[in-house]
Amino acid sequence: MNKIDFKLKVFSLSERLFPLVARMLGNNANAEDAIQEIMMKLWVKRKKIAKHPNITGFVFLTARNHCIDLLRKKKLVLDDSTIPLKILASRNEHIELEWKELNSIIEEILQKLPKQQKEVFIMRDLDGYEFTEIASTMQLKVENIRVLLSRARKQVRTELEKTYSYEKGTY
Amino acid sequence: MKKELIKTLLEKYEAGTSTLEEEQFLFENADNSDATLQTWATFVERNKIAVPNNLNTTLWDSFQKKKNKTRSIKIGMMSAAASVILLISLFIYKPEQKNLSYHEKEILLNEALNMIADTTPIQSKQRILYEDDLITIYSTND
Repeated sequence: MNKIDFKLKVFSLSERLFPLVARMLGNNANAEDAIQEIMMKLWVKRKKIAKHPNITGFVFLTARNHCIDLLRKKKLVLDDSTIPLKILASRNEHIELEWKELNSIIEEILQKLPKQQKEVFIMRDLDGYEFTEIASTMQLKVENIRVLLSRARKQVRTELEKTYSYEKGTY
Repeated sequence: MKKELIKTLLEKYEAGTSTLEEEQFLFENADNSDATLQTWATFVERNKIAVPNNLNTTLWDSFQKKKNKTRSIKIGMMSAAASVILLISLFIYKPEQKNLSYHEKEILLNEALNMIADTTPIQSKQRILYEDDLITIYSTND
């Protein structure tokens, strides 16, 4: 695989990887550095990658494994609330409070989900990944991903309905 | 009509069989009629991670710089290693040369000394016992 091929087939996936890496590491700046490191790793393996039947899948899997390694090394706690809380920018204070509350409630609901279900659910609903991409990342079949996702979505819905009294309106 | 469509899409969504486009449509069209979906749709919208503009291009530029840097580091390390090997080999080789030349020097010196010894006999100490205009009587160690 030459430089142009690498750029087209592998490096062009950087933007696609960004949400996954940023969410796993809980930081956008770290995500850019991590993607650079992932790409350096892949560049070294470019000869092997050229023969791989599913290049995109391999790139996603490498990215996830790299993030897990980084988290292990730095002993960072996987905390999905980091980014959402930062995103909450200055708006009306009342609405802001309501959103903070909602965020923490949903965070709690997500924390209750089994690990795999949570990961699949976030990758699909929040980060908008294709089933094939999620399957490669998680090293599972697409059918399994659909089942995990379905369970997670139903669970979240039930929990949300339990938590809020919807008759009131807004929520 | 729209309600029907949303209902069908919601069923597909919960079964995990909807496409990304269908899910996007569902989130965009969630309203008060399904507050749970509306809440979730708003949460999703607010928690999307925005990809920085031109990320591929900026990352590619710095990736190339980093790659070149790594290559120059490799070249640097290889040159350093080569220099060390050269120095070591010189160090190992040099003392031998030094010894040899000292040895040669020693042989040459001895040779030279011998030559001198042959041509100019060493003057032995003479002790004059008697001396006048005609004769000199002396004693030597020889």
